[in-house]
Parts: sequence; C-alpha cells; structure tokens
Amino acid sequence: MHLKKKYILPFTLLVLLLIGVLFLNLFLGSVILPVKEIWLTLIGGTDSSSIANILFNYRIPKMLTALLAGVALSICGMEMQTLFRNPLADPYILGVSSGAGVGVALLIMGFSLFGISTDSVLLNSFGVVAAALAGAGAITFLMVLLSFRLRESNTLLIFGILISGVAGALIALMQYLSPAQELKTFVIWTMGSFSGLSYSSLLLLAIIVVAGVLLSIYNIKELNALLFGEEDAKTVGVDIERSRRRILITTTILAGGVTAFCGPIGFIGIVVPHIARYLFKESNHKVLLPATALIGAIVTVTADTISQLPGRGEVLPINTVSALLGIPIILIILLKSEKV
Amino acid sequence: MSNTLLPNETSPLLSLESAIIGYKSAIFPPISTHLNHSQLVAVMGANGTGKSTLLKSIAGYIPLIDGKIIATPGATITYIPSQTPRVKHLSLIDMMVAGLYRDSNWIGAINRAQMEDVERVLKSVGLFNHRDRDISTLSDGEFHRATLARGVIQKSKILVMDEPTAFLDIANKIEMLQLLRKISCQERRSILFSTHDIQHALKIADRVWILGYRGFIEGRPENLIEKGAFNQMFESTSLKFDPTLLTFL
Repeated sequence: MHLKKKYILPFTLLVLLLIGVLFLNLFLGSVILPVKEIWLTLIGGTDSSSIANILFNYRIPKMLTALLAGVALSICGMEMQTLFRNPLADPYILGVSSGAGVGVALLIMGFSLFGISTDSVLLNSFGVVAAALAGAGAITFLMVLLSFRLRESNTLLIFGILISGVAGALIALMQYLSPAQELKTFVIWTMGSFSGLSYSSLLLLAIIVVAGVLLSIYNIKELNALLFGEEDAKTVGVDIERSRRRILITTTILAGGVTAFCGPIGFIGIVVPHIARYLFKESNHKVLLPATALIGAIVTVTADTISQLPGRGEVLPINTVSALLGIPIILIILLKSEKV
Repeated sequence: MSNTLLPNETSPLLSLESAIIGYKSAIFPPISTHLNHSQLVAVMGANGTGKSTLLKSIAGYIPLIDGKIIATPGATITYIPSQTPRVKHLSLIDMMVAGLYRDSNWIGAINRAQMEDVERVLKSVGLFNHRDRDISTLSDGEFHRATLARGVIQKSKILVMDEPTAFLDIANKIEMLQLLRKISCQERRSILFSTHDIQHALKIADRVWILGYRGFIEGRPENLIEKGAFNQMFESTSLKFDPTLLTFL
C-alpha cells in the first residue's frame, strides 16, 4: 500500500510533541529539576544521587506508566468505538473496570467483612494487581462465553452495562459496610494513579500493553471492514463472531492490564480516538491506530504532568485531571463536528 | 444484447431444486429454476413476497427450509445489500481495499495486480476520478455504483443484489441498470437482482423471476409479457399490466 504523503508531516509533529511532553514530565514536579542536571543524570555524566533517585525511582517509572496507559486505553477505546459503531463506547463499556473493581473491593474491604483477615502483605500493590486482574479476567471470560450465543454485538453492550450495574451494586454494598480506613483505601484506588510501580511491575505492564498493541495492529483489517457495520462486513467475507472475539480479547488485555496496575483511568479511552479522527479526518485504521496511540500518549503524559502541580507536595488523583481535561476537549469536538 | 457462451459455460451456474425459503416456516411455494453464465436476472414481486429472503437464501445467509441450491464448483456468490452505511472520512479506494477482505494480506493491504484490477473496475463504473474522495461526499448514484464496484472486485461469478435501484432518481436508476448489463457482459458475471422498476428492468434483463401470489414464474421478459404473467404479481384485480407501456395501470 502506498503511504499517504499528507500524513508524514502530522505524524512527525506528533512525535516531536510527544518527546516534548515526555521531557516536560521529567522536568516538572514537586521539585523542579534543572534541565542540565536531568540531562547529565540521564547520560550518566553526574553522580548527584538525590536527582538520580528522583528520576530513576520516581519520575521515569511514572512517566513510562502514563505513556503505556495512554497508548493502551486510547487504542482500546478506538477498537470499541469501531466494533460497536458507537462514539460513546470506551474501554470499560463491557465491564472490565467493574470486574477489576469488584476484585479489588473484595481484597480491600470484602474479606474482612466475611471475617477473613487479609494479611497486610496481600494488600500491597501485588495483591491489588492480582485481584484486579482476576476480576477483569472473570468478566472477560463471561463476555466471551456470552459472545458465542449472541448474533449482535450491541446486545453484548447491554450485557456489559448490566454487569457493570451488578458490580457497582456489590461494590456499594461493601463500601457501605466497611470501616472508614478501608473505604478510603478503596476510593483512592478508584481515582487512578500512575505512580508507585516497581520496575518489575512496569516490565509486566509493558509486556501486556505491547501484546495488546500487536494484537490491535493485527485487528486493523477487521476494524476497517467493520466500519460499515456487521451486516455489511459479512458480505465481504468477515466472520463476525471470530472478529468480535478477537477484538474483545485484545481490548480486555489492554484495559484489564492498565486497570490492574493504575486503577480505572477515565475519559482517555473515549476522548483520544475522537481527537485523532478530528485532527486526521481519517477513518482508515492504518492511519487512525498510530495517530490514536501517539495522541493517547501525549494526552496522558500531559495529564500526569498537570496532576503533580509544580511547587506542591501532593499529587492530584489522575481521574480528576483527565476528567477536567477530557470533558472540555470532547465538548469542543462535538460542537465543531455538529456544524458541518 | 445477448451473450455468447464459452463451451464450458453451457451448464447452469446455479440451480434451485424445490427450494423452500423462509426464516422458520415456509413463506413461498417451492422454487425450481436455474441461473446461467453471464446472465442478468431480475427478481420481481409485491412487497413481502420474499424477494429479499430468496436472495439471502441464495447468498447463503439464511438456510433453506427444504430443497437444494446447487452451485457449480468454484461459482462463489457475493451479496450486495440495498443499503450500505456511509462512513465519514474514508476514501473510495480505502473502501475498495477494505472490501477485498478475503484477498488482502494480514494487515489488509493489496498487491499491485489487485490494485490494477480495482482501478479497472472503478473505471468501468465511472468512479476512477473519485478514487481519493471521501465516500460520505459521493452522491447517492455514485455511492450505489461504489457498492457495486466493491461487489465486482470480489471476483465472484455470481452477484446477488438487493434492490440496486432503490432510492435513486430515474436517471440514476437507468444508469445503474445499464451498468449491471455492462458488468454482466464485460466481466462475465451472472447478476441476480431484485427490483420494483419493472418497466426499465424488463428492457435490460435476460430473464425475469416473478414471485407471484400464485407461485413462481420465470422466463424471458417478452414471453412473460405475452403470457400475461405480470398480472400474477399483485393479488388486486383492479391492477392490470399494460404490455406496451410495460407498467401497471
């Protein structure tokens, strides 16, 4: 296929912008690090241990987490929007985050309610990741089972919403019965965070995201055929049930992986594909997928930079920043695309 | 316009043997007929008689209640629905490439020979100069021709089209029917299409299948007109088919 020349410039600009926001992310924070020091530390030309400590143990893992989460959630949202032909679809529409939420809620609040004492060791980040993965995995398994029995993907959408409702009720019940300390621990998890990942966790997240992105690239052909809807895709030879399962598994790997490590991150997955479509005026996923991935990384890393306002000690919950940043963007795009 | 058949094209491409169509129960008496090579066949009948069901059954989307549909080995079928959703921000050429789902590689790219074939078909439907246009900006007539082109590039011997002339103005209807005739001859395809545009379709089709209220009738247009077969299309006795005007009065 001929590479369209008109896309070379916008992609170059996006890559440069990404490099810029990544650097800004390292530079800004509760302590503003001098550019020169960062550069020297990165290339190993200095042995200032406090700067190295901040960079390597805190800022770089956090930056990489935000980058991976942004790419994963944005691509995931794009695939959901195409599969369901619904602009409001997002990575969590099939209940992946609700499943993860139930897993984590059980771990943090649930077991003590049933008189099972959770070892404090279990409540560390590994325990939370495992609980979230188990919850997300259970929901995915249920959805794949259901998909064998359904003719239309939109029915799956309704099931996803219903299951999220059930999960939400279970979580609310546990919250109502839990003591304040456990409740707060859980609520903070639901606000999302990119910090605190060890390098081994980061490696695991990276493997999950890379696997999900590779599967998404393999889905491009299906997604382009599905642009015309499922009934039409059948006429060009698409095996709808097989494609639907492939996309379902890919998206839960992406959304489930990110949710396990970072908590449910809102708005990125729904907003970024719209920004990509708006900027590129292109529905072909060969262009849309890399555009969405790049913009997802830029938006998420920027949101993370904003969340740790310079000069302040505390870090704002990432979901509050992504909502405050994401909602105006989606409003502007909606308003602009309405007046044709 | 008639077609000369190659020696290996004398046997039917597709045969229906007492085929009974319907979703759960039969909606029409058994149909026995066949479709030949490079033949243009119009399927006519009142609303609700089962034209779409028949076409979808032939395309393999709906199983038969009873009977058989036998296709010559290698005679694949491509179904073209009456309406295809318009996708925003997708070029005509990308729509064609997405339509080559069966033949493109793992990432959905096509090779040079396939691209040349796509361009040849776009030329024959008069859309080559629009290859880079956003399909949501095409006119209705142009978009209908684009969906026809997407069906043709799939290389099936048989094209099954549900109401290709629906929602078009009279000029576009005639142009579409002439295009079907041309594709059938030049590309050597058999085209089976349903239509309510009796007057125009009769002038252009090789054969007509009528899903009448008393049963299935088929034949060459002139023979059917002679036999008064069209009066069996509608149960109403106040409607009479005029054999010279080729329309109901």
